[in-house]
Amino acid sequence: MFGLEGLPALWLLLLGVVWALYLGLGGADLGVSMLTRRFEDRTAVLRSNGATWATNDVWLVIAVAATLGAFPGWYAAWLSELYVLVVVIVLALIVRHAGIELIGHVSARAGEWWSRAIVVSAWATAIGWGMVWAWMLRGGSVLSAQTVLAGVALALACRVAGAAYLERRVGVGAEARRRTVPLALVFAVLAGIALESPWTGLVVLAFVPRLALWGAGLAAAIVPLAVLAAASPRVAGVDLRVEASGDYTLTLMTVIAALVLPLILAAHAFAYSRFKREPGSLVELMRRGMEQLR
Amino acid sequence: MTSLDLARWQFGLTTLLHFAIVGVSIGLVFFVALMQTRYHRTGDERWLRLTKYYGRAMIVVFAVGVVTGLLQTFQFGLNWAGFSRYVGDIFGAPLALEGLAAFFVESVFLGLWIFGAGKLRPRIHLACIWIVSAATMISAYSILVANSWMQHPVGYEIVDGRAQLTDVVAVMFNATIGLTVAHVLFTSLMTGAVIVLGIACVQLKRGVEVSAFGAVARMATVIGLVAALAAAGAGHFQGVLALEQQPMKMAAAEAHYETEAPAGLSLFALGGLSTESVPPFLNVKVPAALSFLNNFSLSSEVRGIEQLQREAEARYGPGDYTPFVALMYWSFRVMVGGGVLLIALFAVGCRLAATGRLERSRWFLRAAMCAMAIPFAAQAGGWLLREGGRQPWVVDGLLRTDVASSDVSVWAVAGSLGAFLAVYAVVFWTAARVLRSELSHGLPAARPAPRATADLALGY
Repeated sequence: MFGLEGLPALWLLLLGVVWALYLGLGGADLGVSMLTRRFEDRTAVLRSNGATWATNDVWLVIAVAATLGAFPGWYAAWLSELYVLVVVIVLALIVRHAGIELIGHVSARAGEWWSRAIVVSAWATAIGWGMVWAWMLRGGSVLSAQTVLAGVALALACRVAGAAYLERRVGVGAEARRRTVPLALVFAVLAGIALESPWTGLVVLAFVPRLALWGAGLAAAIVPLAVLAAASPRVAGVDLRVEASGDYTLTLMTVIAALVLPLILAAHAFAYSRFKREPGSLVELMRRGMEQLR
Repeated sequence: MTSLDLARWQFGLTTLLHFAIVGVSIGLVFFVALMQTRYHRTGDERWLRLTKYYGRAMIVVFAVGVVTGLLQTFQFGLNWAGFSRYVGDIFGAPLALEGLAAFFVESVFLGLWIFGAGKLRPRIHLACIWIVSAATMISAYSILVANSWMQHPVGYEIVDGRAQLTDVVAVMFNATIGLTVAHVLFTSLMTGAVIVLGIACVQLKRGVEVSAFGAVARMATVIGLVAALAAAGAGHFQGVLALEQQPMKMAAAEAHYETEAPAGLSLFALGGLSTESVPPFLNVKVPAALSFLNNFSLSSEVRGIEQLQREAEARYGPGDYTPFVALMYWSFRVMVGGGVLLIALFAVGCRLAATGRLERSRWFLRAAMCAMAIPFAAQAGGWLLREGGRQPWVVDGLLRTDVASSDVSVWAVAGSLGAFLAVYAVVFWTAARVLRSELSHGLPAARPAPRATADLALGY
């Protein structure tokens, strides 16, 4: 698998899956952030994923930290070679995180600025990760037609996922989704050609309201897996066969992951299901009040 | 300025800021959990209101901790590619533990705690905050495992110029780690106590909600005193261990240039303190005390900087193996001095609380408010000594800092340093304002005011 054998193959697969979780689940959160300023009830939009979005960013932290542990040379190579791009992404992550956490507590005027910052940083994050993953396929210059296409395609897929998520949770976003899907599909197909992977076309599912979240989420999630499957064992000029950690370390990491991963997946699923019907908007609150009376 | 210098500044500044916040987070989460437990046990609504009040501050501080921590995940690869390649294999297990067992648990259960108030059963809701508290401590442990390996590498072999793990038990459980974790966790609890006490004293000085804030102030002084004494104890034995494992660090911390038997413990020094061997012109010492700390003998020999430098040259080849003595010397004193001041503050607080005068002693309330700055200074001193005293090594005796950095242009590092500091400034400034306004609202009501739903129900 992936041109690797044994534990390194397992860990590359795990890394791909964790990246997929981040881009699939966290991608919808990025999309929600992109749409923050589109709706009047901004608080409802930000609260719609309040209990889970921070956890989805932890998937990213786990993916990056586990890369350091499992493939130190690969971690060192892409982070230092894509220095400027990664710095921009990290700044965007910081700004968006701080913005979402603090915006509920600041003045209306400061809130305007923070909401703009949240939108811009969500776009920058999504485009940035698309560029990083397209670069992983062949290396070379970070600013190329392929990387930019992949970046825009990923960001649009996230926007569709975010709109679909809002549609489901708080009942807004249907129009934003319908208007983004055609453009997202065009870019997804172009990026699919550039990345030699047909899977990004899954965005097409987003035309169907009930499948929209799954379609856009999967299209985003598939990117790292498709790139790794195509490029490994040489990812962006790094030979993963040489750069993998020793079996001793990988065994330990596997034991820890096997013990903890099922528990945290269960806890994460619980958090998602527990707040499924989180009343986000006033309409919802009133509807609930009426229900209680019956 | 080279990109190496800038990368060091970037790591030092961003990490010090991150650790300052992390210490407060660990402490505050613990105290909030304790307050909620007291409410759960007694049903006394003061504790519920205090839980909510300090919980708000905790959430803001936690958010800043997460935000500043994001950079850490990437920073090793961005600026320290050589270091990442060298230590990745060793760091794999602790990082997996931190990411999965700590970050993830923290974020899931903090989300459940914040959004689950009134929705989850009280016991489950209380369990959530204790799980967050445990996760913050596991997180500290994991990072300190990695950091302790850089101070005292064990359980490894060198394969193809990189360290490879051979004995995880030696890496994750040893005296260096045990003492370091104890020291850091107790200082974090102490920091939490200072912050909780300081905020309570602001309100007590205004004379609002004296019964509730008096109760929490009393709790914080007692726990703070115990934690501060325990932190000092662990720190003492860390120093003794460091005299054996990293003698150069301790010699620099003491500005101890010449090998002596018996050796005195410096209290205060002026002048000198440079890397050249110019001893300070004024140096107030406690005779034989350093020898006593070394191995409980009043006459043992303690090697000085000059001898240690010669020994290092003989072992590793020519080079400068002396850390920045003045910085180490004063960092050490800021840390110890800060700790001593806080022990005194808590001891006085306990005495006042025992005689029932804590709420009314105006000078104590003022002192406790000012004391909120001390743990930050002391912690910064501690980390500067721990990391700076190891220089020129990034992994003691194995990897030099100057060969551990990435091959990145000086402009890229300068730009990122400037950008990160600017963003941190905005985030810290906003968070500080938010904290001020949140805390100035005073204690929230135990039960939320009737909301739209209730109004609607009544009106119908």
